[in-house]
Amino acid sequence: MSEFREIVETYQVKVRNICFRYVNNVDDADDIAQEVFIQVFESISHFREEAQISTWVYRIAVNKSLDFIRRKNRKKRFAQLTSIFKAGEEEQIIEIPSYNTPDKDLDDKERKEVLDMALSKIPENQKTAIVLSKYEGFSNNEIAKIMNLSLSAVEALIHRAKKNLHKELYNYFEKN
Amino acid sequence: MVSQMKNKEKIEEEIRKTLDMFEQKESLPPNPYFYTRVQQRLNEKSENKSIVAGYLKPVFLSILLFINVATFVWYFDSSANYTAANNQEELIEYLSSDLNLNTNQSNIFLAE
Repeated sequence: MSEFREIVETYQVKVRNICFRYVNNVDDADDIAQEVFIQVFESISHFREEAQISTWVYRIAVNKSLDFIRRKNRKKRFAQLTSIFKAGEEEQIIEIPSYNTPDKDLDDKERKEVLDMALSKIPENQKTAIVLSKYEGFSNNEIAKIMNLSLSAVEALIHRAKKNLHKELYNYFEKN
Repeated sequence: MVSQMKNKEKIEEEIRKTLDMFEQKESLPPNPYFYTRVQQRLNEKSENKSIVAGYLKPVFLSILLFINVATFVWYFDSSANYTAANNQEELIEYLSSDLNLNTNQSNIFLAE
């Protein structure tokens, strides 16, 4: 148990932050991070020594976060579907900051929200690669190990992610 | 044309500033209660598991045992019917009653 405590203490900051990049909510990130370590505890006996424990833990964090987002999106789609049948009920509008006047400059918080919006629109694997690279500062080699991909595949993912982010942001600023 | 170019430049500038937000990463500080919470959830999970083991497992095993006993009884009951009809005469009697044959007709089976 003391070894497990050591693992939790060593990786909790990075794991919580990885989860937070995906869900943008501290409570949800904490919940997912706890699930990550529960899975680590339950399957530590199956862990193969040739792999790095950090890589393994971060991979679980990425997968759990993606699962959470998928579940949330499914719920959202179901809620949209049911709201069609519930006439008169107020629709919940997710506000994305608008950029109406050319002179108005977006503040950092709004800019961050715009970036998150663009990130949510690119494919999952591209998002994972760019989040791990840009936010968490992992090297491409480390990302390749976490995502179980080749180095060239990760480089291609990051390249496409940047291109798609640029496209999403261009569309956003053009419309607003 | 000039205004279009200026607009494009402005958009590119906004994109650059937005992508720069990657550098201004806000990180979550370490949570001192994190390990305690993980441990608490692990305890809850093992308690739930013991409930499953304590109540659901015996119920499942009883159902399994019942199915086994029922299958056993059914199997030996049908094989008892079969052995009962194993004797040739009894079998003819059984068949003739099924086919509505009289004694003379059914005796043709015993000709030899």
